[in-house]
Amino acid sequence: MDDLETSTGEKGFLKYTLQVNASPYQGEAADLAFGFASALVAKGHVLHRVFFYRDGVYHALWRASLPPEEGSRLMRWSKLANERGVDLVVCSAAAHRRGVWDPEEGSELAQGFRVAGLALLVESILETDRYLVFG
Amino acid sequence: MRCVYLFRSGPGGGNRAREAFDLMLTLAAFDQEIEVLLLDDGVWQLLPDQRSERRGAEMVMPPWNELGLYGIGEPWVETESLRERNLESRSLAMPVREVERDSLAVFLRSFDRILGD
Amino acid sequence: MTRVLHLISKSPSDTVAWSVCLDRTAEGDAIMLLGDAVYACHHQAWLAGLGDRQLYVLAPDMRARGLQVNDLSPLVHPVDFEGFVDLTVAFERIISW
Repeated sequence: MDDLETSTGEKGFLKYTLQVNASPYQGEAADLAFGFASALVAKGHVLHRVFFYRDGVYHALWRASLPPEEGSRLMRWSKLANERGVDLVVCSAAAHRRGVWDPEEGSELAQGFRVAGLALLVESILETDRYLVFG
Repeated sequence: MRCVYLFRSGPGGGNRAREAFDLMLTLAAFDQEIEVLLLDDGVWQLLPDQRSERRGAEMVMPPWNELGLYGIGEPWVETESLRERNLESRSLAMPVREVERDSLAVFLRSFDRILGD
Repeated sequence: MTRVLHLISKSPSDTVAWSVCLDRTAEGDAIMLLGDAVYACHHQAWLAGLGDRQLYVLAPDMRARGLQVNDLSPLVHPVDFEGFVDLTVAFERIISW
């Protein structure tokens, strides 16, 4: 691998932004995103932010319970955030629109998720080395 | 940075177009150089006389004619995408610039960031 | 020279992505098949149009569909998620079609 001038300053390791537009059960996009994110951090790259837009905001619903065989999917993003310090951001407008979050009352989101505007996604895209969209 | 924002879907489909537009406008607020590119069904976004008649909910039309207010130039459209849909650039609701499919790869490479639908 | 990695996750029956994707890639770009798109690595007609573009396919998604990873055309390079990550390091831009 050539020496890369990266935003982390560390040769060879890059800083990433992931955008997830699909809900947990909308095809495979969400699984692909998570598989990629896990492999990315395991390889030593920096997952700067995962931004959940459009139907991706449903990932932050903590109330969803799953049948036992699906258990590992629930909280997997939260687990990743907790273990690796990944910033999980849910778009406020998209979440409000879908009833996932209310600006007046707030809502309890799954652990590790926070709500913010699209500016945080754009900022991340401009600051990081790589940007991928899933779904 | 030079950014290009791609639209590949038509104006229908609920909030899809509006949410794509919102992200583009947010990008515009960051004072970067932005070009918009319409491909495939994205070219339908610029059909004139779109009227919101959807029952129960308003079909929210992105304000394409306000691009200039955000410092974004005339949209680019892929020539083949128009032809495949029996459209011509002069039948669209606003002036556009055309790029041909076989020049698209080079065009996209010229940008620092590629975003879109 | 900026190189682009084109991600396709739609099935070959989604005609737009398939018929135009190749035309929208430049020399040095690569294509990666994910999800239902992995079926395309058995579409001889499409593979014939690849020319000198590199084609990668996500092996876990093939295995999930019962597709064999070891009887692929030499034009097709299976990778796992780690390989997918490596590709995104090597290519400066990533477009999801």
